[in-house]
Amino acid sequence: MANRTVPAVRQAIYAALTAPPLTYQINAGPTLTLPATSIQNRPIWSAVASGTEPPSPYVTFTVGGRGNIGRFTDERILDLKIWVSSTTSDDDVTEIYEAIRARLHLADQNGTDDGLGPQDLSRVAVAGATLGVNVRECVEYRVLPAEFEKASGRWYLSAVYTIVAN
Amino acid sequence: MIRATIEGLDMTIFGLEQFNVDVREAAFYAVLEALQKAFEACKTVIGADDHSLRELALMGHPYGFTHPQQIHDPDVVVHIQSGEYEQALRAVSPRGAFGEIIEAQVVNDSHLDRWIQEGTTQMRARPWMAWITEHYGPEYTDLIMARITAAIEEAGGT
Repeated sequence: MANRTVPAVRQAIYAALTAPPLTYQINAGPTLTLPATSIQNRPIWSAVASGTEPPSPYVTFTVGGRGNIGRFTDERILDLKIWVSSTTSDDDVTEIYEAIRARLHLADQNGTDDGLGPQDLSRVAVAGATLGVNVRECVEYRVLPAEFEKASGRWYLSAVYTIVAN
Repeated sequence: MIRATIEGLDMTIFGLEQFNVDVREAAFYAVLEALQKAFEACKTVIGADDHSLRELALMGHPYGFTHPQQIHDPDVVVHIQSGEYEQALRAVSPRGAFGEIIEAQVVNDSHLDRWIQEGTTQMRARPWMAWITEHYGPEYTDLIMARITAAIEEAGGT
């Protein structure tokens, strides 16, 4: 089970962010949809083929393990890192991140326990199959606000979540 | 402009209220000593001067996304270019030995810090402060604990 935890959580995060497609609004304007192709499981810097400009807006994420936290339990504490990037404005990255946060906030077992719906990442079905992972917690640990980087001409917002899964 | 500190190195001791002045002073100087060591380690990691910007370009931009290469061990090493980033590194000393906690920190205030440690679409991340914490953290903790333990024993405590 433990070896399957990280890939299963990756799959669950991707499913949570893409199905249904992520929607967001800027300044009470029309509802915008982020296509699933603009969300990828990889670090932001390795997300494109050589010489190709990444899409805008663009969301990437990685899930990393910190190892087992108990000898007799099969729990793992994982880091989820998310980058949101856009060439247009800080509003874009901020609103997209708010939509992501809303999804992830509801995506752990607490969300389900609080009666917020069947959003538990462990219950996310991908291709009709359950993932075989139980996400007990999915908690925002750190967020860096939107900031513009000149060299790439993009706005970035990045965040780290702590996930406890077994 | 927002200034973001990504992974400030923190050293904090708490629970010292029960000890006498000598132990508290020992703890203070231990944190100071660890801070100096951490600061020097940080300066070394972000102070590589063996590759100029031109040389890195000729190597195919090893920190870019098109031709990523590991040219140093650790991979998180940062090269000095203008010197701005290295100069922005600072050590925040502990304020005193008589509070509830004794705390010190190494931070980098440069606007480059976020892009170097977090990465962009064009440059891979080099989270060097996390590397320092992981690599040297236990050494600093041991140093501080050894100094405090020695002071407690000298004071006749347990």
